[in-house]
Amino acid sequence: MHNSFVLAFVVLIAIGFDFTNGFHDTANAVAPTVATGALKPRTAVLLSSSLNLVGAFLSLKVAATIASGIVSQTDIILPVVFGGLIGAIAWNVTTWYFGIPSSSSHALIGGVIGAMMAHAGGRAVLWSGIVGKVLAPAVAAPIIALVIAAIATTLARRLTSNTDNDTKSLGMRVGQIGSTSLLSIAHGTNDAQKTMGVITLALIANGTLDANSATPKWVVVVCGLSIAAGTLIGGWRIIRTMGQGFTKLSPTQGFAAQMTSSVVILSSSHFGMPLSTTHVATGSILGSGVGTKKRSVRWSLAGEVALAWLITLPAAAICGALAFYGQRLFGTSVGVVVMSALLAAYCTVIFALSRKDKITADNVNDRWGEHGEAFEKPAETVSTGV
Amino acid sequence: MTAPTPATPLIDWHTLGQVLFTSVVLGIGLVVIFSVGVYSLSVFRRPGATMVSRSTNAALLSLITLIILATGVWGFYIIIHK
Repeated sequence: MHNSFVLAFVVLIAIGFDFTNGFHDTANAVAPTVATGALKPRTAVLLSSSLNLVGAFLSLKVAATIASGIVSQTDIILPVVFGGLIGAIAWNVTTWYFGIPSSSSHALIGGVIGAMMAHAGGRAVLWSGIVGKVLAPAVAAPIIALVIAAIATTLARRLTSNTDNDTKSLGMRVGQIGSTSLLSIAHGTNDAQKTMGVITLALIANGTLDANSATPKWVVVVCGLSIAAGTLIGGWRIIRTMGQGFTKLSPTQGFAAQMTSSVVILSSSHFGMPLSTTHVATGSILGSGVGTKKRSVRWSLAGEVALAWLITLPAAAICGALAFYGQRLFGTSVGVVVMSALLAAYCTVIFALSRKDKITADNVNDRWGEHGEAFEKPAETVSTGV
Repeated sequence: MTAPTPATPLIDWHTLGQVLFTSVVLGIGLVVIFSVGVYSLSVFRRPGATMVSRSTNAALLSLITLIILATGVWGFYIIIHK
């Protein structure tokens, strides 16, 4: 099918998804660094954004697949990719508004599943792939990270108990900056490539590129810049949840959490079992709370986030299916314009709502509960020093 | 819809186990090594530390710095070559 008009919209929406992916996932790399004051908020985000951009150019082994092993690749058409992206952006923006760290990858997979089901029915969805590639890793990632971070925090706390505070603070700050940098590069490589893959697939599906073609340079540049710009905006609402919400982080906890996240993410990449960076980072931060003397963690907030993870796939799928049906209702060319306009209107409304209680670099580290968050006392009583 | 077959297990437990093992060893190991480094730096900077103590801790710090840097390079290698 050759439809340059639809293709242009798919590419634009994919770039938009990459942008939301950037600001939605900034917290994974910088939240502990910001919360512990290892770097000033804007400096941390600028560092992460720069390294996201570097990461996007480091590896170009892009597989031109989307939700490979999860939906039938032969049934993928441009409107399915479009619907999937609309669903993913809608869910990313919604969870950002509520400050919920949810997986952008799962949102994209969910969106594509929904659009694919609307297009070809349930037969085009590889259900076993969903269990093996999405659900099992989603359960394993936070548990693995939580346990490792809890043990690591406990050991780090004991090993440095006789260390003077200045040296401990300096050492842990350096460690945090190093691990933040590594996580940011990994995020730029993983997530920018994901969008590069989506755009490349769209170009192939449209006949603009031959099958097995390499990703065009402009796609690499645009995706790298888009995710870096998104990261630079700073998803402060999610940074606040991860940095202040789950537990009160000390530099030792922050370092243990970020080192754990880095190691788990890189190990999973090495062995070819990609785990969600968001799930790993969240598990690590929770684990660093468990590793303190008082085991101070706001489990009610952790439960709310886990619930959001559970509904990410179906919620994004519903949005993706609605976007697919919507564009079909108006005809493909008019449909993509209408659905894009609806998405833009929805994003504008969410943005306007978020202005009522702005979270910025200046107030991201305010005491938990000062911005209308549910307050739960135990985690506020933590006193681990540095 | 595809049903799971014996040849393609629903969940790749083997890989998951490898990820778990590597993450536990490296995650805990690196945090412990780094913490020892921080302690060592603290002793090195302590007023009144003897020359032997300073030399020993300087050597330990150098070794730990090398290990941490090597791990960083390994991480970078994985990012590029995965």
